[in-house]
Parts: sequence; structure tokens; C-alpha cells
Amino acid sequence: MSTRAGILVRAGGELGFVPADVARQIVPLPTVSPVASAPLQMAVVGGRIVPVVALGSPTGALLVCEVDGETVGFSGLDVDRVGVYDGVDGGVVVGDRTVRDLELSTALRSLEHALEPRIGESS
Amino acid sequence: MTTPLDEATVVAALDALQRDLDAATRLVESAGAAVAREQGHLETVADAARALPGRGRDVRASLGLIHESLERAKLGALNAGLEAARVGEPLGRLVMQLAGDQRDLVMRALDSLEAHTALVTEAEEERERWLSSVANAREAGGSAVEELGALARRHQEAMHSLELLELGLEPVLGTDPRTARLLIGVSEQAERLAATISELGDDPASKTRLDRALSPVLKALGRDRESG
Repeated sequence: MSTRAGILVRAGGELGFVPADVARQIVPLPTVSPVASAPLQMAVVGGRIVPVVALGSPTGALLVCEVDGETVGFSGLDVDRVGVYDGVDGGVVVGDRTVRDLELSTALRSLEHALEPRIGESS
Repeated sequence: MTTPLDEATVVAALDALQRDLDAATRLVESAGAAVAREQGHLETVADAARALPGRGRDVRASLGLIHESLERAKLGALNAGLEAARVGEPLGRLVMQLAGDQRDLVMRALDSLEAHTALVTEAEEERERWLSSVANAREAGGSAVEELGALARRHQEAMHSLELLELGLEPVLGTDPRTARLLIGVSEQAERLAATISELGDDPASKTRLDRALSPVLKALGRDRESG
């Protein structure tokens, strides 16, 4: 069985796993600004503007990830711990339970879908 | 028809009433002073209680700073663990273990801080109850002072009425209070004398000695009555 290093986070009470090669850093939640007429938020992290996807009610931390080559911040997460765990298909084993990978790509894509009609209207 | 002794009894009753009123006035004054002292103590307690919210805010601000620092330390430990996870075996695992231990320590500190914050909240609620009790006690004390003041004024009025009554009685009774008081003294002494004579009984020897003893006094009294 292979091992996977990464971070365990809670989103809406559910425990999820984010691989270490996706999670870049955890920062105190900066000021997050809404983007007008879009389900998107923006924040400045380390001097760079990054899009922020809310996965739950705001907490004190922002998880900055590298998703599909894009730097994206995820808010509404409680970071539980970092570790190396036994890997299974689509997740890791923590203790006697399986924790699924957090579907960050899916969350980001759903956001892009939500933005598409707006982009079409403005063009 | 009243006798001088009846009039004297009335004056004696007035004297007793005046003494009772004097005693009541002293009690009222003493109670007023005691209430005023307690009011002073309550003011001291109230001043101290009023200073507490400021201190509570300071404590909360300190706790807030500690909480923020601990949260930063927790994120630092998690980020260190994340970096170590990327480094991989074998160094990464060791650093990750250290970062995990650090994070656990910080979490314990955060739990403890949360308990402290709950204690501060309890203390603040307790303080609010105190303040409420002190305010009630002050209000009750203020009412007591007012009532004691009203009572003292009533006493003064009663004393004044008593003086007027004494003055008003003089023409009615035909006896001035001083003479009436003397009459009471005489009548009391006469009663005691009569009681003593009664105790002597029918013993002839004692009676003879008593006659001899009283004879000069009775003669003097007779002369006074004739001259009066």
C-alpha cells in the first residue's frame, strides 16, 4: 500500500484530504472581497491576487492550493492536521476510517460554470 | 373633680412620654447613622465594581492577543508540516512529526485559553449580578434614610406637640408642671412611709418610738400649714 502526504481539513463538518502537492500553504484569512454579480471572491495573499472559493462558513484560515495550474484560495475550512497516511483509491486511511480527497477541482469547475453565462452576456 | 395628685399623675405621664420620645429619637438617629455608614460601604463596593468592566476588557484584549498568536503558531506548525510532507522521506517525516507535536501543544494551549475565556465570561456575569445587587441595596438604603428622616421629623413634631400640651394643660389643671412633679415626689415618699408604718404593726413599743420620732415633723408641718 502506498502512502500519501497531505493535509486533513474539515469542510461543513466533513473531513477531507488535500494532498501535499496541491496544498501550498495555510494563511490567516485575509480580507476577502466579493466580485460583483459573480459567485467568486478575491483576496490578496503574499502580494498576489488570488480567487477565493468558499467551501463553508468563514473560518480564521485560508488554504492556498495549486489546482490545475492555478493558485486558488479555499475558505470555510478548518485545518485539522498534516501527516502521511496510507493511500486508498480517492482518499487516505486515517485511523480506522477512509477520508476522501476534497474535490477542489470540481469546486473550481462549478465556479467556472457559474461564471460562463455572465461572460457570454458581457461579450 | 380632679385632685392635685391626679394632675400630678397627668404630668408624670407626660414626662414619661417625653422620655420615651427622647429615647426613640436617639434610636432613630443611631439607625440613620448606621444606614449612612452602610451606604458609604456600598459606595466603596460600587466604585470597585464599576472599575471591573475596564479590567475585564483589558483581560479580554490580552486573551484575544494570546489567541491570535496561538492561531498563528498553529498555522506555522501546519505549514512546517506541509513543507516537510513535500520534502518526503526520511527528513520530511521527522520534521512533520516535530511540527505535529508543536501543533498539538498549540491546540492544548488554545483549549486552555478557551477555558480561561469562559471563566472570564462567568466572572463578568457574576460581576453584573453584583452590580445589580449593589444597586438594589443602595436604593433600599436610600429609601431607609428617607424614611428615617421622615420619622425624625415626626418625632420633632411630637416633641413640639408635647411641649404645647404641657403648656395647655397648666391653665386647665391649675397646677404648674414643676409643682406637680414635686407633688409626685411627696406622694411617692408618703406611700413608702405609710407602707413602713404598716409593717411596724401594732407593736406598742415601736408605735411609741414612732410617735416620738414623728412628733417634731408633724409640728413643723402644722406650722407650715398655718403660716401658708
